[in-house]
Amino acid sequence: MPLLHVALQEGFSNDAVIIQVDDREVFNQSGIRTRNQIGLAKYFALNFPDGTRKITISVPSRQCSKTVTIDIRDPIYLGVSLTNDNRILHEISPGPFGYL
Amino acid sequence: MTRQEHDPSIGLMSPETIEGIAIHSPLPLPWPLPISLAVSGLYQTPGFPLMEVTEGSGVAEAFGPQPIPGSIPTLRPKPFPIPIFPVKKEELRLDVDGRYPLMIASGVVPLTGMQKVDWIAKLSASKPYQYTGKIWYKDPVATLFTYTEVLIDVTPNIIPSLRKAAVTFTGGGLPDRVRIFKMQSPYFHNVEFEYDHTAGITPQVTVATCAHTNHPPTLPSETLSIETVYRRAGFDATNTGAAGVVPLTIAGQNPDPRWSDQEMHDAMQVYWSRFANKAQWSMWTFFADQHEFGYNLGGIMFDDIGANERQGCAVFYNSFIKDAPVGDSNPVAWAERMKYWTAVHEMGHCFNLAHSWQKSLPLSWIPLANEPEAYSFMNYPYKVTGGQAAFFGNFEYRFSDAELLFMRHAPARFAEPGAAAWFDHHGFQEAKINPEPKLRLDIRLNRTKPQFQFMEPIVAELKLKNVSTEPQLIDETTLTTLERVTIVMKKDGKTTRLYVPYARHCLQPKVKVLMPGESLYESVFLSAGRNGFDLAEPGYYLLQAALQLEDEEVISAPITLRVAPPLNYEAEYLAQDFFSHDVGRVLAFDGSRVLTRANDTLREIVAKLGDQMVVRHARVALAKPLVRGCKVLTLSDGVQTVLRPACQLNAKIQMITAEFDKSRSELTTALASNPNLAAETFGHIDFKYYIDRFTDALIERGERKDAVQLQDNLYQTLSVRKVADKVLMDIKARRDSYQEKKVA
Repeated sequence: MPLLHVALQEGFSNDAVIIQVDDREVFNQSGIRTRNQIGLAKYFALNFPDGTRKITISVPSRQCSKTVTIDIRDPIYLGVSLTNDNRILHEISPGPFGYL
Repeated sequence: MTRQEHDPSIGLMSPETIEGIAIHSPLPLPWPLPISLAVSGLYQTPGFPLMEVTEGSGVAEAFGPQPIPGSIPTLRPKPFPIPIFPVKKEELRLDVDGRYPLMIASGVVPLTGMQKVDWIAKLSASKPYQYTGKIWYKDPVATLFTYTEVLIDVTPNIIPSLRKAAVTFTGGGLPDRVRIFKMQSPYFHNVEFEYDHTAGITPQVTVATCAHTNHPPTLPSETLSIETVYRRAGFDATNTGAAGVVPLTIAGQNPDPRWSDQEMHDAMQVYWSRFANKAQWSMWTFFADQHEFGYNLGGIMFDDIGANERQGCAVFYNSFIKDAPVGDSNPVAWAERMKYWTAVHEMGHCFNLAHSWQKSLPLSWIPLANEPEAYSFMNYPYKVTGGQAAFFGNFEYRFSDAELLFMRHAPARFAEPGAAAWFDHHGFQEAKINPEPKLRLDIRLNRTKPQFQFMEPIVAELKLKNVSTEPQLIDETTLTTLERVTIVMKKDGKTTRLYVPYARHCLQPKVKVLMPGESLYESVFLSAGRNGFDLAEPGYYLLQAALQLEDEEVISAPITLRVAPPLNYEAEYLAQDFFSHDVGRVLAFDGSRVLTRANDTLREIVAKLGDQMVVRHARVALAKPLVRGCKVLTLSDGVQTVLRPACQLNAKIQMITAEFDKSRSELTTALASNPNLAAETFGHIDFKYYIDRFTDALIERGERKDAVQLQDNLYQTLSVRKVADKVLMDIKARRDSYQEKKVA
């Protein structure tokens, strides 16, 4: 089963984050805070059978959410960031993100 | 380059041999010199007495033979009284030529012994060596220093140390103010670097700029050291020369080549020759194999731990920075450049520089725009349009102008490693203060003179009052949890320290209606916290508190307190044991059954320091845990070096019995003898709290008479000290309940 690597990156400041895959909650954690010196708050990986998955990221503390559809066949990397005006940005990459 | 090549005393230098000073006209130089000499750098006043300004011309007589161009007011030494504080030197940073000139002047003006103002002005040249500009930044914003413009006349000289600048401050409704500065250095700050590494790693501290074919076509081909990059940024950067190998086992018994932040922090404390718990223009860079995060972390400014952050960073060679993109024409040169780039990048974080795309995030020192396309050391090469190839094709081994402005001209405490916390004042954000506040926050001391004996624990009182005409909803636990409260302390001449309590309470919010004129109160033990003893040394301290509400900040007026010098040699001697983390914890938590060394110190203080105030606090801390039996976790296997679950260590929870008689005698002495002094040193809130706990214990033992007597004394003491009626009524109610209670 390929892995979906999720990185909560920029803009988190003691926020609660909920991630659902195909309407099933796979991550629910509060106190998410970006370490600004590397631009990363939280990293985790999830296993899924091959296929197209609907991923919903919600940040209740900022009253925003976003749904993205990803075709997961090989390991894939999803970067999620929050903007100053409480929008969720995402980036999908076939390779890992680097941090400095 | 060697240090000698940078010695500003050499005088005439070519652009090839100096970073930070350049000569305006193209080389070769004719003789005599029809050139304009670079004048950027750090200037200071000579520490002369304050000058009186009168209209006129000519200033040279007081300051040596160099005439100041243009006409400026005459200065006469003014008779001045003996200063309470030493006369401090005023600073000017002039940034008008040399590498990457910003046309900026900034400075520091000492106002009183404890206050100063930092200012920054944008300049334009009005004629050769004369610059004018508006002051656009001041810290603090509200200051008596209301000048709005500067006129700077520079006297160039081939010998840098003979260069002078006359600065005239004008505007703001104040009479013109003129100061004469002498050049101290062509650089804006001094800084030193130290590089350590693990075995098998060769730190990449230089780079051949054109070793890789992908570079800007105009980029000079040179071997560039990290120090040179920072010299071009305006720092007199040196290397401590104390590089060494850090063994892998530093952090424990596990020779794992991967490093955690805590392990690197430990290594920094052991191996950095300059390590100190203080702000200093010095930093430690560590080159290692891999971070525990893994291959995808190329480097990190790991030091957001402890009181003095941003002193250390690390670069990891077994990470993605070693691997050139597939198909790169010169992967070796690519990796060398990337390793070098990463070191400069992480060190930039130690100067409190954010990433290029984070500039607009909250807490920036001035409002800043993001620079996502900047070809700067602080951007990620693969983040710009066109990726890393476009980045390095345009990268000139420099910081952006906004980054240079910060490093050269922001108040020094924002950039100096170990001073402002990481990302705090990567900019300074003005507080959102309501011009018509509904609440007022006070930090106060329950004593007539804000003076404390040496070692006397300092307990302040926070008061939050509804000063509006409407009832206000407020979380009753606001002052207890301190979650939204920030308290800062500043010793005269030192940097500001943030009060970090040993523990924070996590309480369920309880909304309370605070009626107009009504207040919340809480005591705060300020002497010590996770930063150590912040208020230990004799001297003057400035304290200020701020409360962050949803839509505004409530900021208290600052208060000043003084810690007196030791009363005798005995106090000075015992202080060495007293100012420890364990004693701080015992005092903060009102005693401990397990921190035996701290308890021994407090016993010694009781035995040797007679009636000094600290003795009362020591008695309470020693006695209070004895009032009741308590539970203690014991680990039968002795001292543990590796963190393991208690159940694996044959741990037991033991009940320890009360020693009430012993406790009673100590508490009576501490609280009941001269209760007015006790109320003063413990503060009203804690004094009442201790008496209440003590009398409750007496009642449990059937000693109603003594309990009532202590509550009567408490009432009497606090009513003389004009404590709020509500508190006195509470005391009376408790006392009456004791009278009515059936005792065992």
